[in-house]
Amino acid sequence: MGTHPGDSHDRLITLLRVPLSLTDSRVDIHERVHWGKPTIVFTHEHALIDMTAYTATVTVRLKRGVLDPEAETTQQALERLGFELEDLRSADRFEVDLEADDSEAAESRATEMADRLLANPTIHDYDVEVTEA
Amino acid sequence: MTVAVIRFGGSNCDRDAVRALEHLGIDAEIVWHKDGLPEDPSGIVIPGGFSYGDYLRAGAMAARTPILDEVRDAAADGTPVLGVCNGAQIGSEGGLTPGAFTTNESARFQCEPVHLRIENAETPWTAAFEKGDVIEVPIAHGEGRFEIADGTLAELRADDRILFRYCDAEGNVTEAANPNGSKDNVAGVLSEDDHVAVLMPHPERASLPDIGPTDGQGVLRAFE
Repeated sequence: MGTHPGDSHDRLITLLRVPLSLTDSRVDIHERVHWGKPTIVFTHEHALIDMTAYTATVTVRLKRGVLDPEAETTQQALERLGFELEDLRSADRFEVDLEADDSEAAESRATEMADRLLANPTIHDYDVEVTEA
Repeated sequence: MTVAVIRFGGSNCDRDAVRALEHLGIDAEIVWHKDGLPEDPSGIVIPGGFSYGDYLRAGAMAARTPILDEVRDAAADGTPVLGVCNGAQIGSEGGLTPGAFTTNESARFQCEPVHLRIENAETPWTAAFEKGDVIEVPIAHGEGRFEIADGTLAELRADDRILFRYCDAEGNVTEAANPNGSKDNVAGVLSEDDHVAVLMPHPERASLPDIGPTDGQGVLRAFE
C-alpha cells in the first residue's frame, strides 16, 4: 500500500521463521522486498523454535529369501563384464531431511514413514539412521 | 444402483471395465478418485493401469489416497470390491487383501493369455464357476509375482481364500504354468470376509465376444 517502485524505504512483507544450522544460534529470516528485489536480512533476536535439523536415512531392502529378479539381472550383467562376485543385493535408500526436538523424535517420525509407506512389511525389512544435518 | 470404477491418474483399464460390465447389463460409471465415491455404489472396481507411474511400488501411492478409506468402509459395509491388476496391487498395498504383488520373476513386463483354476467356487466372485474349472484370461503386468509369508499363505489356504491359481490348459498347477513366479501359483485372493477380491489377470479383457474368449464374465457377474 502506497509503495511504488522508487520508494525510498523497503516494505516488510513476510516473516519466515526458518531455523538454519549456520551457527549455534537460531537465525530467522526477514524477507524484505524492494519491489522485485528480495533481500534477506539475518537477525539473531528471535529464538522461537528450538528444533534441530536432521537427516534420517531409511534403507529398505527385501527380506531374506524374497526373490530379487532385478538384482539377479544386474549380477548377470556384472559377470558379463568380467567381474567376479558371489552375490548381489539391492536396496532403496531414502534420505529424509526433517526438523525435530531431538534425534529420537526424528527417528520415530522416520520409522513411522517407513511403516506407513516407504516399506511394504510383506516383503521388506528396513532400518533408520539419524544424523544431525 | 451403479458400480463405481475408480480412475486414478494412470488408470487405463477403467473404460474396459465399464464396457465389460455394461455388456453384462450392469450399470457402471467412472469415478475420479478425488471426487470420492458416489453414494451407495452397488459395487466398486479398482481397475488396471499404472497409477502414479508405479512410483515407489506399483499401487503404493493410490493405496494411500483418501478414496481408499471410503473403499475400505464400503467393503466393511458389504459392498463388493474387485481389484484387477494395478487394482490388485492397490488393494494389497492398502491392506484390503493379504500379501504383495511384486516384480515378476522374469524382471520383465509380460502380456499373454494364461489359464486359471478356480480354487473356491463358493464366493460371489466365482459363483459362476465350479471348483476346478479352468478359465482363460490375459495378464499384462511387470509386478504380479504374489509374495506372502508362509504362515499367512497356510492361513489363506485353510480359510479357502485363494480364488485363482495359474495352471495349464488341463488345470494342472505347475511351475511351467506360473507366468511370474507367484508363490504357490496364486493369481487372486479374497479378503477376510468375501467382499474384496483381487487378481492380477484381467477378467474385463475376456468379456466381450467380439474380442475373443469371454471367461472373465463369470468374475464380473459378482456385481449382478
